[in-house]
Amino acid sequence: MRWIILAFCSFLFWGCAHSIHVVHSNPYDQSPGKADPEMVEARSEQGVVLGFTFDTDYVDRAYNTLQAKCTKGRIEGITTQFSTSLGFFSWTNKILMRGFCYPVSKCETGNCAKKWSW
Amino acid sequence: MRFWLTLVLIMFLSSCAYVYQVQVGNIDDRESFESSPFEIKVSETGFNLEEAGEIEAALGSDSGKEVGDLLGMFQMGPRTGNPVYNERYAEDLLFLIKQKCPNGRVSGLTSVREQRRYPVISGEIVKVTGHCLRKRSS
Amino acid sequence: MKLKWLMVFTFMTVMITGCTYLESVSLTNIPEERSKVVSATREKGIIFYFNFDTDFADELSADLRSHCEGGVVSGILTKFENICYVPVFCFYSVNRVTATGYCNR
Repeated sequence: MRWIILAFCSFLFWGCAHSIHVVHSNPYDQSPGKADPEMVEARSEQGVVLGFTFDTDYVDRAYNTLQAKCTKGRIEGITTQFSTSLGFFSWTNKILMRGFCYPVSKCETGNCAKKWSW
Repeated sequence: MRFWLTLVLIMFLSSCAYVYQVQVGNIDDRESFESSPFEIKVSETGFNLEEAGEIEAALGSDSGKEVGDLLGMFQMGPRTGNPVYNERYAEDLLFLIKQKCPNGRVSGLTSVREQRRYPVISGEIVKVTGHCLRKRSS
Repeated sequence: MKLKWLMVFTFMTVMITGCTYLESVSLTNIPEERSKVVSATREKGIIFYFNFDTDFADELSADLRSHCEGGVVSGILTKFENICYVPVFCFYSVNRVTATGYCNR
């Protein structure tokens, strides 16, 4: 009976535990008159077995994916979350990047909006 | 008896606070803006199975430590604080910030990843404080 | 014979590679104009886990600034990694900080 409970508990808790390491947030400007932004998101993962992992390219993948979703605009208010999903002698590192994509600024003669902020 | 009960209650109800990460963003303190501060806290309960096993073993149960160790093998990996069972608790921070400042400029964002630790369980907290700036009507 | 050389080659490959772990990451607001990429890296070797200062990261901002004089660097992705050399039981590891962004003038 004890081993059945143990096996059940192991199954229950397998792959369900997670740990958030870092949450980073950025300011943005949503003052009246600004264009309504679109929320863009990028996620990437890296599976690790027995601790062997040779690069952190998954971060660059998320970075590039986020930018690809907003090619003609700037991205503000970016929140970055780095977490790990724990498992049986293995784990998955995860990156989540979310931000607001502001459309390309319209440049009228002598009244061009800045191409960057903050 | 009452003294020991009170002591146990104090021990279990008080917590230790830990900070794991702090980040401070750009600060805009210009007079032309009216600033209103806001704070957002999202949290999830973390569980320390090894500690639970150790407490059970200390209380005389032989299988407590074994169960803790066995379950610990299914939760391997880098940890900050105790593991939680809902990884999405901090994903909506961007929306929460937008709710606090829907028509202004967000400035002075400070993000803190912290933990409130109790025996066996803990509060895994992400706290974001900032200011919502609106142009002063002159 | 072939198996022996394969094992030697595998061992040598493992000896020179390390396990790379991400410690923290951050990303600042990304600008519209992304033609010019600037990057800076700083690292420090740590022996037997003895580390007495974190000064290696102090000049990172200045490095990035020097690549974009008179401009604005934004969209900065900052990664802090730890590279641990398993064959020496991680008694030698490297802390590396990399910042990559866009320069606009």
